[in-house]
Amino acid sequence: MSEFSRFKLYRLGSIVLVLLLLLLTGCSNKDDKKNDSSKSDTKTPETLTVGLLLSDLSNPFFVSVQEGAQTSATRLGITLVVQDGKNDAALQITQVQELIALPVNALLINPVDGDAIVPAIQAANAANIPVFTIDRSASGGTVVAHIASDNVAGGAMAAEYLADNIGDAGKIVELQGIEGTSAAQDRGRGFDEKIATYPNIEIVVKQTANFDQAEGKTVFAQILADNPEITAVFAHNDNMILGAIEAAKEAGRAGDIKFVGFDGIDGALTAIDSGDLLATIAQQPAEMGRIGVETADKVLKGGTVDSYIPVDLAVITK
Amino acid sequence: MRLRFSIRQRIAFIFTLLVLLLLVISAVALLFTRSAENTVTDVRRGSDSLTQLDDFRIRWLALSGTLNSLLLTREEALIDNQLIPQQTDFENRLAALRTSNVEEIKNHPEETQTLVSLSDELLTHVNEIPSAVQAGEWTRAQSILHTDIEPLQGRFIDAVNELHDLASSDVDQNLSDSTTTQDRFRTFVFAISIGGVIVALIIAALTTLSITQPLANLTAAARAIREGDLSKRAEVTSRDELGDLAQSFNNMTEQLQTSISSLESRVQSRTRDLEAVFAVNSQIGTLLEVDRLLQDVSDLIKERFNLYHAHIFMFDPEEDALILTAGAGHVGRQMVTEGRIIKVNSPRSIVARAARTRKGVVVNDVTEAPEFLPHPSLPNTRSELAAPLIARGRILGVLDVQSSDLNHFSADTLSLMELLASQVAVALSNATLYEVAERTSRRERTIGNITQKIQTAVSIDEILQSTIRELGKALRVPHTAIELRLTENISLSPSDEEYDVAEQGV
Repeated sequence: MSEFSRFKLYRLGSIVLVLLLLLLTGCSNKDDKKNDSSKSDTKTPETLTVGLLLSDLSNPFFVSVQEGAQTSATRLGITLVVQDGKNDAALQITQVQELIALPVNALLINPVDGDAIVPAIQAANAANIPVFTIDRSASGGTVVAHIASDNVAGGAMAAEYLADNIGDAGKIVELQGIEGTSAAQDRGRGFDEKIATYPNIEIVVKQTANFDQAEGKTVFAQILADNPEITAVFAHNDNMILGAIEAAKEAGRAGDIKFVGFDGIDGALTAIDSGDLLATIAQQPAEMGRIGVETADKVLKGGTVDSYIPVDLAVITK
Repeated sequence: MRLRFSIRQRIAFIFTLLVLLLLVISAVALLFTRSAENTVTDVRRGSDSLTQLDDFRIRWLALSGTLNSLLLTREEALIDNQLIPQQTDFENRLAALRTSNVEEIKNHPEETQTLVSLSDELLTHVNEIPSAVQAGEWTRAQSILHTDIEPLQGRFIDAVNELHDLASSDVDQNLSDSTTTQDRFRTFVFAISIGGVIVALIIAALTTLSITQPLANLTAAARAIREGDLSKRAEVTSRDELGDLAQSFNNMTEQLQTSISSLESRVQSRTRDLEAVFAVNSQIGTLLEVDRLLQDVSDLIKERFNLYHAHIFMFDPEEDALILTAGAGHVGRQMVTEGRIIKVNSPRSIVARAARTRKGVVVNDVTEAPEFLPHPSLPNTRSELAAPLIARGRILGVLDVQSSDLNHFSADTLSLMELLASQVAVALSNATLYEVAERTSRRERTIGNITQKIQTAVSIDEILQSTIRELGKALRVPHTAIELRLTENISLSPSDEEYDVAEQGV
């Protein structure tokens, strides 16, 4: 009997000990698990490939778009395939087809021709590849998002800056871009709406110079001759304003007329530095490229985006 | 409840339990302390990581401020005086962040990587500024600031904030985890303490009860026994030392009770035996006739000693044998009538042995005794006692008693029977003497009568007749004759018929 009960006593004791050990290990396990769970979140994301089709890489503007896109792609771990459309709509369509065949996960297209590119976009739609347009929109096909400068806001910014610099009063000229282009329409609308809030400023002439520097020069020379009382000029792009400055210089009026351009090209920046140009509304091509790639990345990772993503503009002055 | 544990084991068990309880509480308390330490570490590390991120952001904002004032004031000196040192400072912070070991930052490698990449991009564009400025391209520098650095700065601030928020929520999570753990430990310690105290109290009460209860039982039993109630027993409720003690106590009481009651019964039976001896004695004292004496003694012994049978053999020195003379009851008388003689030298007789050895013989199991001589009229005999009747040094016979019970005769009974036998022997001897004396006196009286009658007789014939008649009467013989011889061979012998009258007349 004694042996038996002693055995039972030992057994009881060992059970309690085991429970104690379980308790201790249970607690330490919990600590371990906490550490594990915080580390196990790291997953290797699959490498995405995004095609970037630019209309013309001889234009520094698009080179900037490419650079910006490349930095974002590097940051996000995305492989970026860049194609130069060389202002050739047919070539660009071929490039789209090549990229679809590669394949890529998404396409960022800066169309050479908004109409001609439509079949290529449709082909991409058929291959289930999301398409984004940059700077210039396409007339058809399913486009997830259009990424472009906020031209309406840019026009308004130009109007505001100009008004400030002419004392909120005066007669001004607006040199318009190619009629029917979205850039010309939006920039003009933003500018006109803003100017309308200044009762003492009057737009005396609105005339197109087709985004061209030489045409801008001739058109403005004629306008200046017709309206010598004008105090300021706004052009829908820097080329036209640079032409207008040339015309004003030839007419000897460069000093008393304020010029505001749009785009922030190198010539315009030089003109600002020399004091010929008051300001230019600079687009942010690099930012466009960055946002393009980031938007594609977001969509590919299951996010939703707006169909139009405006890119801010900046007033560049001396 | 039958406890299997001894008191020693119970006490050892309670101590073990207490030690284990203490161990558990200590262990939990240790864990609690460790958890609290972890909390402090977590908070410190979390605050380090947040500080690091805040620092990083502040360095950038300082650098960004310098860029803005550089482009506003167009003082090239700012580049060397402020911009370059601040840039270096920012780059150092960036390098520190890149290799950060802080858990809250390491835990979010993607966000950290984004922040580092953005910082690199920013630095690339920041590096473009001095060259543009030195080339006098202030507007280009401005353009770089507005179109490249500012959009990137927005992303940078977002990324810093995101990482900051993640680290901050990590810290919150750690804190909340620690608090939860500590709350759990606290509850656990509380529950274990309360539960342990309750369990300890219950076990202590049970143990105390398990010790005091049997003790109280034992004390009550001892008190009852002290007051004379020997039938009282202590209740055995446990198998421990106290149970053993109670068991021993009960055994002791049992033995005491048994020995007292057996002593009482022995005294009782002894008294009864002595009474029987006295009764037999007083009876035999009044009996002088031998045959009646023996018969009455047999009957009395059988009756008073409550025996199966009792009978008496008388010793016949001429035959050197023992003759059954008297037996109790009907069977005894019948056996006497049948006649039973046992030679003294017969080996197969307890009675003969008693006569030979002149000592009492007890056989308490006749079936085991080879010398037992069974008798068909006494089939139930199981034990037998034979005591010699000895008076004045002479053996007179043997008193033989039988019982239908095994082991009926004790040494006490034997000595009683021997005593009784010697009394019987003395009485027998007295009775014999009395008979002899009476016979002598009667004979002398007969002789006197005869003499008287002879003296009054007038003739020889009358003398002879009277003599024969009186002799026959006195001698109680059926036939008496006197033969007269004359010297001249004259026979005066009367015929037998002539002198038979005397006998007839008796």
